[in-house]
Amino acid sequence: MQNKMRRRRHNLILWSLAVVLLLTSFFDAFSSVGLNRRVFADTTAEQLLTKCREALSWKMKASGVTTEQELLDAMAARAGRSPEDWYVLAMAKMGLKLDYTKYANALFEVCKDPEPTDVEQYRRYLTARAMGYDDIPGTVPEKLKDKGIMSAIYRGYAVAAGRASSSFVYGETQSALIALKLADGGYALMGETSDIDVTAFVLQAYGALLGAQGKNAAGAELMAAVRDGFAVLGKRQSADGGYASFGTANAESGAMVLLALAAFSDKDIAAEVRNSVDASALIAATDRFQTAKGGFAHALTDGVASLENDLATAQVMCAYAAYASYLKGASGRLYPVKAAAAPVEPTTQKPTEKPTEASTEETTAKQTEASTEETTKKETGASTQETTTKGTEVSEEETTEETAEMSTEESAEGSTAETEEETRESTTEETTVVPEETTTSVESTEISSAESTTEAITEENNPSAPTEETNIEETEEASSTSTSTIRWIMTAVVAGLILLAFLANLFSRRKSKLNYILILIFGVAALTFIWLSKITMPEQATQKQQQSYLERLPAQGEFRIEISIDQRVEGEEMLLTPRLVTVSADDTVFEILDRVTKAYGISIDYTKSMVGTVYVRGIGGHAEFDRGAGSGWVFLVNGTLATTDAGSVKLSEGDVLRWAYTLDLGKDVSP
Amino acid sequence: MIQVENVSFTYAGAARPSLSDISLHVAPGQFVLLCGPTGCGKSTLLRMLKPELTPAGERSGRVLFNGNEIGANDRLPKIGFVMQNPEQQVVTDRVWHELAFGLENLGVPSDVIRRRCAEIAAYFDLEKSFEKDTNALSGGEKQQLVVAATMIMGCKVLLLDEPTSQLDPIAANRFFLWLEQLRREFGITIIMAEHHLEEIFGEADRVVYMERGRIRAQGTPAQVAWEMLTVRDAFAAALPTVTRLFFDAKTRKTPFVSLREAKGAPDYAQMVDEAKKTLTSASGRDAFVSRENGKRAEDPAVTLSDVVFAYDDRSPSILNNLSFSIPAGACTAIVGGNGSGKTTLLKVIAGLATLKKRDGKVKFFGEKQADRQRISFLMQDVTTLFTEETVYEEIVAGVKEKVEQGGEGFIEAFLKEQGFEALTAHLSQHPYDLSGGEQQMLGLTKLLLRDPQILLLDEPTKGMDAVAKESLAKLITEKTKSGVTVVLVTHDLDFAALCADYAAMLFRGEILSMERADRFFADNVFYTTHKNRALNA
Amino acid sequence: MRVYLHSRTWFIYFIMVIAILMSIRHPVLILIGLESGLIWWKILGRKLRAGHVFAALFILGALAVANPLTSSNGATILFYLNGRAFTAEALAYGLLFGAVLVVTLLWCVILSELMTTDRWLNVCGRRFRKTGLVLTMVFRFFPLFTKQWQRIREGQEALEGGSPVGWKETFRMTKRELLCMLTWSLEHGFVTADAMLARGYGAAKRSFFNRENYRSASVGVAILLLAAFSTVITIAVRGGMEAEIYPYVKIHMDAAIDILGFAAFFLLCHIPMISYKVLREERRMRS
Repeated sequence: MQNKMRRRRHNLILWSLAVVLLLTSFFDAFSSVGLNRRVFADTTAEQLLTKCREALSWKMKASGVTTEQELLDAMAARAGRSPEDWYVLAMAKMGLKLDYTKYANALFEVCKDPEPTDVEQYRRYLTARAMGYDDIPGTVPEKLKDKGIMSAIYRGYAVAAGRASSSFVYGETQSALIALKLADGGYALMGETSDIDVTAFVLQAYGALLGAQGKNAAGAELMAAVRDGFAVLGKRQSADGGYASFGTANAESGAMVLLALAAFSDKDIAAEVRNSVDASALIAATDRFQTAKGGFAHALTDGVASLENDLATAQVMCAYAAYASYLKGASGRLYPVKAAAAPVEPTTQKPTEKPTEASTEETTAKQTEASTEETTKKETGASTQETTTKGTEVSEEETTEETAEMSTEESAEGSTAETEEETRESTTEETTVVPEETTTSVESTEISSAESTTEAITEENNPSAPTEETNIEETEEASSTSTSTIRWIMTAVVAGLILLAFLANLFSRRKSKLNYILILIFGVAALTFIWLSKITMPEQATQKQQQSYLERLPAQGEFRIEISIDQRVEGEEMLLTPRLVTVSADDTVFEILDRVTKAYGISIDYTKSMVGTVYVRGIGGHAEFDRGAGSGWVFLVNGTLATTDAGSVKLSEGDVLRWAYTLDLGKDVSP
Repeated sequence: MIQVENVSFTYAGAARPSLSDISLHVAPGQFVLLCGPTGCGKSTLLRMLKPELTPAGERSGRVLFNGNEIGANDRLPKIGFVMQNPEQQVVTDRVWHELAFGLENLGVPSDVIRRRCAEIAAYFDLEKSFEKDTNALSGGEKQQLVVAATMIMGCKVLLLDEPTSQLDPIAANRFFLWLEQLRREFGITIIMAEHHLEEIFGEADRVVYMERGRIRAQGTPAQVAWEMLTVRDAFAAALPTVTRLFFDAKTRKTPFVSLREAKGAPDYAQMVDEAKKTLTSASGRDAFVSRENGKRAEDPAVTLSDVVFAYDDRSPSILNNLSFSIPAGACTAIVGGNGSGKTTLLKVIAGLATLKKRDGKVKFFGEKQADRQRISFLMQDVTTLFTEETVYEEIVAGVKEKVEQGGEGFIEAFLKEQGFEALTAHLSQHPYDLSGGEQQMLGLTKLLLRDPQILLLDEPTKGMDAVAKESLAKLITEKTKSGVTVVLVTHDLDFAALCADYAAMLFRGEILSMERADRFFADNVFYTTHKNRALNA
Repeated sequence: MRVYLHSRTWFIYFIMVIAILMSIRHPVLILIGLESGLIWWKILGRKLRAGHVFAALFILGALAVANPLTSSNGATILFYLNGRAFTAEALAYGLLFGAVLVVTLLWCVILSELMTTDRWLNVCGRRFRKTGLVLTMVFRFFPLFTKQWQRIREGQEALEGGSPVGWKETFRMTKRELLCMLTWSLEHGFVTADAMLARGYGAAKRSFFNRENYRSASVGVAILLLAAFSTVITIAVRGGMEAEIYPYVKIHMDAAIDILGFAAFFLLCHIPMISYKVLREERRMRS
């Protein structure tokens, strides 16, 4: 009797403790989500977009509206004539799905202006392009009429955006801009001292041109100009990371520089060129211009941002949205860039027929005007960025790898099919960074926003494009087998758990029918959940996320180092061009290498001995002894050849890590 | 030792005084028994003697303890006080701690406590249960523990307020014997207020009979008995059976106060014959039982077949292949010792959810399923039924439609019908303010209002005085006359003899015998009514 | 009564072990905790039943699966479930947490077995004797009140003629039971208070009946325990014995400082078991 009572009392204490523990464990699970660094939610891109949203909500409040659509319609009254166009660009870049018709129509009305200036017309044209329209009514100048730098910049941009008629035009536009380069490498409206804003703007144009043509077509001169331009910007960066124009630190200049950085994709420029400007410091400095209400001030008054400024807010929004887009791997250019066509004759503006241009940026090849507009409008969703990038990237690849024959002769529909497939083939041969960019829009929309709505939109985009659909179907089929494998595994796990619970109940002293019912309910609920939920495979996504994880802003206890992998073969590009990655203080060189190669899809072969030393045998297919008895992989830290194994070396802030393939036991590798 | 001089006491806010001009003198070593009907002021008087427990109110007169007057704010740990309910008096969770509690309160140092505890444990043979959990003790053991815990503080006077009211007669007996031993060996003064006078009446040195706050009679037990019997006081029914049985109003001899005394008398045999004759002639029935047993059982109301029940798979079964049937329209008394399973049996019949897992069949009037609404079960602890603020609300709870249908004064009429007029005076009081017997009445009222077909009563006479017991017996008889089946589980054999038609004995989970009550009690030798004991030569 | 270890020593022993297990969730520590817990289980005479093992495995598995469903930290994504990433690291964390829970539960059972009510009273000791009294009364009243609640429920059920069906009925019944319980416990409390007064409560400053006379060994053991505990804590604070799960699973157990920490915890867990006299006493207590 006594024992029974004692047991009962003990069980009571025990169960109340168990309840307390379970509660704290749940709190812990949820809090750990917050305590641990959120890998994927709080990347820099998200932070930037959050600030864009804050600024936008300030603007909405200031304009007395509650939704973005209302704001857009309210601003339509001043379309084409005020700096509020920048807001439109920003909203388009942020990926807001809005109805631009009202604004566009207002803009078109303005475009019919009898005596527009070049710059104005270019600007309006570009705004229309950003909203998804192909062209504007009224005249857009074909040739430069005045010699000012602004019109040259805008022309360059407009040309890249599609007002080009031939590659000859590209060259001409380019040279015009390069010719305006000042002695120090920068650009200015007038005089010999380069101006930040103008330099940045020119760089943006360069970025567009580069994107439209591809590096090879653009030429070495342009690359040099880009490098010089960034060098200037780098030199002129203030201590706090921001930029000043005419002595005053202001938000717009910083925004322009950021836009310039965003205008180039990672393939276009080398990391060292990009790193002339400290982007994270710049962002931090620009953040300081944000007021409490969310908008951005032009300058700081008494060290604090208090007075919101429309132009500053809009430009910073554009810059942030563009940079965020760049960080996510999409195009960071404000205006969509038209894919380079093969030699074409000048066309009049008909928004619909461009049969000779492999307009793969439009994912469908619909012929009707209505549907084009529809799809282009839909493209303002997140998927646009991807597909546009894809289009441009793809076409870049195309033009670099294959000849233009492939793209020209086929009809629109047929061509899209083949170009898609071909481009996929072609790109898979490349061992460089971004094969995943050729995935279908299904995959890519997963990356940008894991919401099924975007998926739906993308699929809406392609109802009559059989190629797209078959592509989607193929990939889905490919992954459906693994999806169902996962489902079966999960079912097995749940079955195992049910069995365990059942046995536990069976063998316990105090059986109760209630437990069995609970087990049954749990089982049914779990199975329903498993078989009705959506499972997608993250093959490519993992790499994308790993990359963005590597490129994140360092947190406490982390820092950035530069890593490169050089197989040192003449004529071949490095396996991994030098880039900055964020690592933590106790990561070994090998761990960093492992992570980086996983993220960038480079294969790696290594052995780990029993004592824990690591020996890297091959990277990217290049194995040791491939080129002689003394050949193999070595690594250098800050130029010094390492003597211990990769698993025992740890790095510190700013180190330069270089993996190189040596032919002579390291003696031939230059620091 | 204790001197009460003209004490009158009125509770704060009460209309009339509870004690009026009480004077009492208790010599050291005496055993004084206070008796009287409910509400006569016994408990109040006892509380006057213990200053910590004296209630708030107006007091006049003096109480002296060893010549010193007891003030209101005094603390007298040397006077021990034991209350009714042992469950409510045990404070700690271990026997040793209970013993040490009082000494700790007095600030006695630890080693002294240790010695005292050892002493007491050795003396009271508590060594085996020294480490026991107090929850595991039975009621009687708990009450003994309380007394031990009080004695350990070195009390010279022990005040007991109905200490056996919550105990069954066997445990009560044991308690009294034990108390006697204490008294004999240590010479402590005992002042006890009791209803249950059967065993203790003869042992007292002095008996004080109180009524309505006044002392009606004082003296030796024989003296008081003589007074009550000659005056034909209603309370004479509370006197021991022996006293009542062998009292001859004509000869007016000194009444006997114990069976031994009676048996020792030279003319015992004649007395027995006389008594038997009286009983037979008075009612024309069988001498030893007060009930007429003309009833024949028709359809059995409840049939149990092979019922086995245990609380879980590892404990021994409480009901072992129990098979018996309860006749309809009659009162069946089920008697048995502690732990025989009587309460469990009732619970099985009532079909309580906790007892769902049992083997065997229970049939009601031949049907498997019973109309649960027609089975009323009055449990041992009546207070488990009380959920309302006033007695009236308590009665009315759950039967509102019936009351409304009945119209004005329905409740009062109903109470009168059942014989519970005493409750009408308390309709606006809180249920917990009623006395034990009144609470039982209230519980019964609640049940009877639901018009039950089968009435299950578990120890209904706990805490009742003799008068109340008689009225309850009358009620049960009336109910059976009107066709209600009553199953009565009780330890109180005298009460069972009063109202039972049939009696069955439950022993270790089995029904041993079931027969007509008169035969049952007549056949038993030990476990039988006092009357039987007295009249069996 | 001479005991080997003072109750406070036992108390802090348990607190230390459970605190370490719950805060430093390292697989090796969990294993050590499991191993010493099972030894205690044996010492206390409890059998390791199949039901226990199954229940433990169930907890482990359930948490392991549930954690990735609610937390997407971790770098290795296995697949996406309804848009949420199901990562291998979250799975590992779930497993780890399940193990922590199971071992902590084990130790809590051991705690409740070893810490009898007498021991709890002595933990309060002379210094907190009033708290000790309150604790004792809680130990006394808790089972009493539970039993009474049961009785009330039976009484109400008997009155109503059946157990409540449906949640409305159950709610009403529970409300009634609660009211009944409240009143009953108040009344009960009054009488108990009277009983306490009758036995001299408040007459003088309460003393404390000390039944434990612990041997001096107890002090030594307490010091050893404290030393081991502080070693483990210091090492953990300084960064040893780290089991990182997010974002990459990295369990440190090779460094010398880790091994030192493990050894210290091992010592901590096993110190009270070292003296066979202690074990003998425990066995005797429970037979």
